[in-house]
Amino acid sequence: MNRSQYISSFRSILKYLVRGELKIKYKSRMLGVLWALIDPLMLMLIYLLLVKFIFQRGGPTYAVELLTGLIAYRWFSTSIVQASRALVSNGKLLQTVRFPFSVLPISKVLINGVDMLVGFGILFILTFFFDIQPTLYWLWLPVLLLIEFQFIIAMSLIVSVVGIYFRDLLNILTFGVRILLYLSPVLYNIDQLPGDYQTLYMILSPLAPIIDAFKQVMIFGHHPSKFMGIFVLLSAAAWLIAVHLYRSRPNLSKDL
Amino acid sequence: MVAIEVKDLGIKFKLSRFKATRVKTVLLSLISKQKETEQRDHFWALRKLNFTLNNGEVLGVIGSNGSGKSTLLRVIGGIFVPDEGSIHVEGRASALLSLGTGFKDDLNGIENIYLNATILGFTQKEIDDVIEQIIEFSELGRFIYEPVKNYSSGMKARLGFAIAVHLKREVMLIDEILGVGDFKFRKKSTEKIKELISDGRTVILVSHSMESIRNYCTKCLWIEKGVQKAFGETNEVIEKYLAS
Repeated sequence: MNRSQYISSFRSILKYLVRGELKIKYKSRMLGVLWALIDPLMLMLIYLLLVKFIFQRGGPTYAVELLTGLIAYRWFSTSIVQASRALVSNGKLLQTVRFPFSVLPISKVLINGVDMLVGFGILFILTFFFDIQPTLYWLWLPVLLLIEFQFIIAMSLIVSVVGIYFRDLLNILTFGVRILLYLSPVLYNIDQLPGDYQTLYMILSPLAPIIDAFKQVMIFGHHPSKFMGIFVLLSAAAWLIAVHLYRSRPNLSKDL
Repeated sequence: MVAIEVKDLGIKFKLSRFKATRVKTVLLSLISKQKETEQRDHFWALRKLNFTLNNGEVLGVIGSNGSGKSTLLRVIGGIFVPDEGSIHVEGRASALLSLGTGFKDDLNGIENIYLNATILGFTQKEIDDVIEQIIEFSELGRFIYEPVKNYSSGMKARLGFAIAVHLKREVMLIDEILGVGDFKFRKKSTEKIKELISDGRTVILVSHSMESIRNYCTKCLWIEKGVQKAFGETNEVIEKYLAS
């Protein structure tokens, strides 16, 4: 197979996979695509209840901040958990046909990307009710989405291969992303942390720069912080690992 | 013209009891390449295979269960990369007759045809050209619009078979053990396989039936426990095989 055949085959498999799974996900349920709305909203309400009414914390725009963080976080967490099983659960297929295996984890990122976009739709509507004016900073949004997208893809590729050799990964990730939620600025904002620790936090918490950036441009009217640089470096490292994992394993299907 | 050239081909598998289960070994194995493993942790599913097949020839592969016949098909299909020696396939080989692996239960027949066929590497146009024939051959009727989860196992196998035989490659891999469906359909599928063979394509046929090997194959390869026992004219190889 030459390069252009490879790419076009990659794209059409991706197209049918994503189209098919979206159909299964939404058409086969009574509430259909509404679930993409209900899911993040319910989560938001739960945390809103917890933080705003029980702990009595959070400012006037807390609900919007929360939802912004949740949407960015969930795109990552759901994709990663699903991607870790993407190759393992298709073992039979991988041993029958040679095709670009990486479409399987990547399709998960795209499918969850649709949920993410629906989430942003709700978010835009909510900003109206919370009196948040659209600003030029919103022009950052597509850029941030692309940056997060490529990071999630790299991470998904990594976990999909690691998942073959290390079957406990799924269990670990299920807990891992939960912990990550609390380690990320979703339920709180960076400036609520003690000043001395903010830099350290931004360096150590992998999703912190991107989630913070979404909040900054969407709600607070700022540019993304300089820590986005760290996030981009992290992505580059993730890509190196991901490409190495796939390149060095032409016989991946034998290990399934 | 040479269609398939196999030189000193070897494929080895890790034995599962040596598969990495500890965190340390997993981490180490991820950092290093898939490299030479210790002698005792693996076995050779195929070793020192040597044969050449010309365009339009039909190769029968025989040998007892577990001798490595399916592994050989997988190597020719490009699924496994040789650990030793080399293989050259002119053009592209079809996938194994996969009989519905990769079907998504909640999608209907047509959607699954497109999904399956794109995974097999065919373009939308190539699929459009044969979709009517696939549907007709599968005899699914209006069930083609039903989700595959409502199919009987025979119906699923028929659809998988129909996809596999209508989307053709320069080299076709056929595992005859997978003869499917009821008597009538099996007759039809045998006809279809005959048609493929007489089409002038290069065909690799794995079968336990000496009769079909004799009928169709110009060359024959006998492997036993991954080792090549004989390769050559069909009748000679079969005689040796039966005498063993």
